[in-house]
Amino acid sequence: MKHVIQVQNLTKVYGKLKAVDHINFEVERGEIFGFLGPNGAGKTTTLRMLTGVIQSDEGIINILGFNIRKEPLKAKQNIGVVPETSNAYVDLSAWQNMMLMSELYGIPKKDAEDRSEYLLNRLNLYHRRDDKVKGFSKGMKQRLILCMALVNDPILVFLDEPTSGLDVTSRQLIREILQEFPDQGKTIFLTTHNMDEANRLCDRVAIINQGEIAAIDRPEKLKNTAKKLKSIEVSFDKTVNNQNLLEISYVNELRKKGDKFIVYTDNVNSLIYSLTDFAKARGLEIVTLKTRDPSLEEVFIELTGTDR
Amino acid sequence: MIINQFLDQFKRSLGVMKKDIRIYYLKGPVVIFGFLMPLFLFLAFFIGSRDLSMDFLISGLISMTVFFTATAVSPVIAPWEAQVQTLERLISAPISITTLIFGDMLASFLFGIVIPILPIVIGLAMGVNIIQPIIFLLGIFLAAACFSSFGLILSSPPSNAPLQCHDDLISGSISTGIPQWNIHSPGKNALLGENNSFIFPFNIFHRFDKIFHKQNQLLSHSSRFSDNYTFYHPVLLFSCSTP
Ligand SMILES: Nc1ncnc2c1ncn2[C@@H]1O[C@H](COP(=O)(O)OP(=O)(O)OP(=O)(O)O)[C@@H](O)[C@H]1O
Ligand SMILES: [Mg+2]
Repeated sequence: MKHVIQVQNLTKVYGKLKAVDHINFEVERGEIFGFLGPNGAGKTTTLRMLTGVIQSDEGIINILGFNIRKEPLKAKQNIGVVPETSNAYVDLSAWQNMMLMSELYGIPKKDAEDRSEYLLNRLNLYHRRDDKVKGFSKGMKQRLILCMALVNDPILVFLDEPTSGLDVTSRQLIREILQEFPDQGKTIFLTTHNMDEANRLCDRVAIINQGEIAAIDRPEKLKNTAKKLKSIEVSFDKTVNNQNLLEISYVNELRKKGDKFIVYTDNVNSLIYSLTDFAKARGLEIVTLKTRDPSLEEVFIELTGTDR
Repeated sequence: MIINQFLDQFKRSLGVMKKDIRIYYLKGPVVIFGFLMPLFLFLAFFIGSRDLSMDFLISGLISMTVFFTATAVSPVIAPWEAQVQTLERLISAPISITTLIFGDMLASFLFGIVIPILPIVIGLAMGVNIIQPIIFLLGIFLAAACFSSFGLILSSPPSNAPLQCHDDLISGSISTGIPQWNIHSPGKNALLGENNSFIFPFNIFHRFDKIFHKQNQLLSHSSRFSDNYTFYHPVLLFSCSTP
C-alpha cells in the first residue's frame, strides 16, 4: 500500500456553499503532508471528512486502504486525530482522558498505561496527570490532545492546526515529535496557517482556496514555479527615488522596505546588470545586493489571491 | 469473528459508560432530582390521601425514582458533547455510533437500577413485602432500560440553534457506523421528523421489527392497523409512520 490517503472527487456542500469542491489528492506513506489555505478554505471540512466525523456529499476516501464509509472502524483504528478545537474532557483528569481514549481504541490496560506514561512524560504533562483538564492552559490542553491522539500508536496522524496559540518551546517540542514520524514509516496530514512551519516540516503541501486545490507540490518546487515572484534586495549608500528605480528595465514591481528595495523581476540576471548600470550612472554605491527566492508565504498569497 | 467484533465494541461502550458516569452522573443534581423529587411527591401523596395503601405508594415511589434517575442526564449528554465538541473526538475514534449511544444508555441504565435501592430500603423499613422478587427485579431492569432509551430519544430531535454542527456530526456519522434507521417507510417519521439524529433505541430494536409486526398483526387482527401504526410495547414507546 503506497498511498495511505487517497481522495477522489471529494465534495461537501453546505446549502449553497461548496465548502469542498471535487478535490483529488494522494498522500504517500512516510510523508508529512501540509494542507494550507486561508480561513474558510475548507481545510477543517476536508479533515473531518477524512477522519469520518462528517460525511462527504460525493467522492471516495480511502484511509490506509479502507473506504472510510464502508469500513469506518477499520480505517479509524490506526489513525490519530487532533481536531481543530481542544476537546479533552475538562471534568476528567489528564490521565482519565488518556484512559478513556485507550478504551475507545480497545488497547489493553497495561499497554495503555505504559504508553500514556511515556507520552505524558514526553510532552511534559506527567506531573499534572491527576489534575483536571479544566485547570490546564491552552498550550497544556493542546499537548494533551496530541497525547490523546497518539495513544494508539497510529500510523497516520491528522492534525488540525496543532501549534496555533502555543509558545515557542511547545511548538518546537511538537514539531520535534512530528519530525520523528516519517522515520518510523508513519504519515502526517497537517493543516496550518504557519507558512514557516509548513516550509520546514512538510514534504509536500497542498494549497486549497475556496474549496478547490490551487496547487500541490513540494514547497521548494512551488517556490520555483512562482518565477515571477523572484526578487532582488538591494540597498544604496544614498537615498534613491522610487520612481527613478522603477524606470530601469526588467523591474516588474518595487517595494521599499526600510533602506532596502525589493525589486521583483522575471529575469534576475538582466536586472542585476541594469541595477549596476543604474548605480554607476548616478554615482551610487551598492551596499548590499541579494537575490531572493519567493517565500512560501508569497507563493501562498499569489495562489490564493488574498492580498494585492 | 462477528462475535469478537461485537464483544470488542461492547467493551469500548463500557469506556463511554465510565466517562458518562464520571462526568455526568456522579453529581449532586442527578441524585437530588432522581431521588429527592420522587420522595417529595411521595410525601405529598402520603399526606394528601391517607386512604392510599403503603404498598401502592412505595411501588409508585420506586417507579418514579427509576424514571427520574434514568432520564435525568441522558437527554443532555449528546447535545452537550456536540456543543463542547468532545463528540467529535468520540466519533473520530473507532467506535460505531451504536457503541457510543449504547454506552450512554448503559450509564443511565446503571443509575436507574442503583438509585432505586434507596426507596426499596425505605419500603422494606416501612414493612412492605416484596412478593415476587424476580419479577420485581426484572421490572426495574426493564423500566430502567426503557427510560434510559427514552431519555436518549428526547435528545434526538435535530436542534441547530446553539449546537451548530451537532446535526451534521450525528447524521453524518450515523451513516458511517450503522444501518440507517428506516422502519416501514424509510426516513419519514411523524414523531421524530426526517433528519433525526439520536434514535438509537430505534436503531437497536428495529431489528426486531418483524417480530413486533407479527405481534401487532396477531393483536389487532387488522392489516390496515398494523401497517400504519406500530406499537413497540414496552421497549419502544410508539412510532407512527405515514403510509
Ligand atoms: N457545519 C457547517 N455548516 C455550514 N457551513 C459550514 C459548516 N462547517 C463549515 N462550513 C463552511 O465551510 C467553509 C469551510 O470551512 P472550514 O472550517 O473547512 O474552513 P478552514 O479552512 O478550516 O478555515 P480556518 O482556517 O478558519 O480553520 C466555510 O465557509 C464555513 O463557513
Ligand atoms: Mg479550520
